[in-house]
Amino acid sequence: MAEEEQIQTYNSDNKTKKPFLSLQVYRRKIRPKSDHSLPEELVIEILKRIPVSSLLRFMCVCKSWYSLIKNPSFISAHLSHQSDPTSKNGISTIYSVPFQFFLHNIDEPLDNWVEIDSPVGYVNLIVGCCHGVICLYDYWSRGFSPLVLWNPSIRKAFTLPFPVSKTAFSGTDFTVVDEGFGKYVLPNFTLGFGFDPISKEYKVVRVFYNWESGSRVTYLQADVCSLSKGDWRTVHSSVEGGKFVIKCRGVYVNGVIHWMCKKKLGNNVFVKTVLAFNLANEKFSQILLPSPLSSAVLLSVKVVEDKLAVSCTGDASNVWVMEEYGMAKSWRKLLNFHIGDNVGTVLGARVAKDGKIVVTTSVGNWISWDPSNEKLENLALPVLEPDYVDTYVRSLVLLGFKNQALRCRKLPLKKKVRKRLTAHKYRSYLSMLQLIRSEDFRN
Amino acid sequence: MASSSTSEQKKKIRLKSADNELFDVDEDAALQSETIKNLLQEISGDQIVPLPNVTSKILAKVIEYCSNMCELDPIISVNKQWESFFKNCDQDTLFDTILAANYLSIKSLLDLTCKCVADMMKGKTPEEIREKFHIVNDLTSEEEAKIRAEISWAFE
Repeated sequence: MAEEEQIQTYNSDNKTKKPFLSLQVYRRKIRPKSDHSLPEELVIEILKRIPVSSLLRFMCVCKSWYSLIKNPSFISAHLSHQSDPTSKNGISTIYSVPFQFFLHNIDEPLDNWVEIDSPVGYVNLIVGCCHGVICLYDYWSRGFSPLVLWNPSIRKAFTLPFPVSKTAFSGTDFTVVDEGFGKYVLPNFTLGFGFDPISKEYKVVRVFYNWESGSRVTYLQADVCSLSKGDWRTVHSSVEGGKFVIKCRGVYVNGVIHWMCKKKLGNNVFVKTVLAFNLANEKFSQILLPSPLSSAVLLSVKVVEDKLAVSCTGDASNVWVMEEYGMAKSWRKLLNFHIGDNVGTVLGARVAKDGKIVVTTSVGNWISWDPSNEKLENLALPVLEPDYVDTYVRSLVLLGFKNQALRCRKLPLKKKVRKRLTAHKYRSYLSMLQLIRSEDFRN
Repeated sequence: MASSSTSEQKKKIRLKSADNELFDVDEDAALQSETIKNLLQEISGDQIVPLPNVTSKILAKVIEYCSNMCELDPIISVNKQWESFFKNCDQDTLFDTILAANYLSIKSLLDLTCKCVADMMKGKTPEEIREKFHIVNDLTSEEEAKIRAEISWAFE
């Protein structure tokens, strides 16, 4: 009632006074002559600079703002502004430990972490993050689909179906492992999550770990699920011959998912390489590592400032960045330092505004490294050992998304029951982590 | 060669506002506008550049901004001064400047003014936004209640 009265006053004001310069969105064709509103393109210019939390509230300002904010083209304009490396205003770090997910705005002090509600009460591992959407996989789920796409900023999650299939190479999807303290199951596959810029689709990819060699070519198979269709397809592609062993989660950069892998060329002849799956043409290829790394140990694929990177830990820790995507000549050594004993390997790295490189280690140390004088500074000591660290941008992606076939969960859900992490489950969790972090590529 | 040309008389461009006021502007300041740059290619050198979408009041500000941007001061401090100017000026001036920056295609000015408006909006309630920017709520109370229920946690 009170609101209706308010509208009345605005209307009468508009009649008596000169027209206001308002932000009402109009469509070009029907713009009234005396209206001083900003055109829609300028309203977009302004609103794309607003953080997600405010934009959600602004959906109930008026009809045109509601449809504008939900519009996919606005959502992508907002995303590209928020993730623009020059403005860096929407960029956070995501940090996950068993059961918990934290976000940290990179401009704030390091102890200022915000825990985000998880859409699932089980131990879920992050497959990957892309455009503010987190892909979670529950490796221990039984009986229901373990794959969830989740945008915590808009508190929306979709459950994707998950195929139970057999491949000619691996036999089964899971292997039973028994290391003396009880049996548990490990998957024979690894997942990747990313965005196909051509079809504008989010896709989850499943690839099995072991691939037998052909003499000159190796045929690889991937299972692909696109969010809008919600079903799985199997695609085949071939790469230069060799026996491939993949052991890590897929890392998304530039429309392509990357896995660090070991390629067996002959008897006891191995070379490390990056297997890449292009989400647009759905084909595999290989990316050559910088030559000093092709026989290195403890390698893994990373993303640093939206570029493909590889970290390597031996006597010293190295991070190499591929400056120009796909150009093997453009590998550049970004980091080279000895981070000391018992701090593990490099889990995440990003370049701060002052040019220093902020590194998170696998045991949870935060270290800053100054490339100009090669000085190290400890920013924070470990509190919880992370299983995933990445840069993260808050977005509206999935806000207007609907697919009848997929189960959509809106958060907050009913009071969730957190399953207790048993010792047995925790051990299997640690084995899983080791598996997907690819840090056991010693041989 | 380059230094001698700057010490000499700079080339001036003559602009005409919507209310027919004439402005003589240094060429390098005027060329920050992509629109003026394109217009200059169409007309011959000494003609007046007509800008029928920009009033003299706003054009004067825009020229001042462009000249500032050409000066030797660090851009960051100049930007800070302009940011505080736009944050404190009246809304009509700010919005007219956005329209002018868009029409004249001066990206840095458009970025700065849009950022100022965005900063004013952050954290506000829908009611405050409607009031501050004179937006009529054309949602029915049922529609509004439905949207609010969808995202109730955003209001916490």
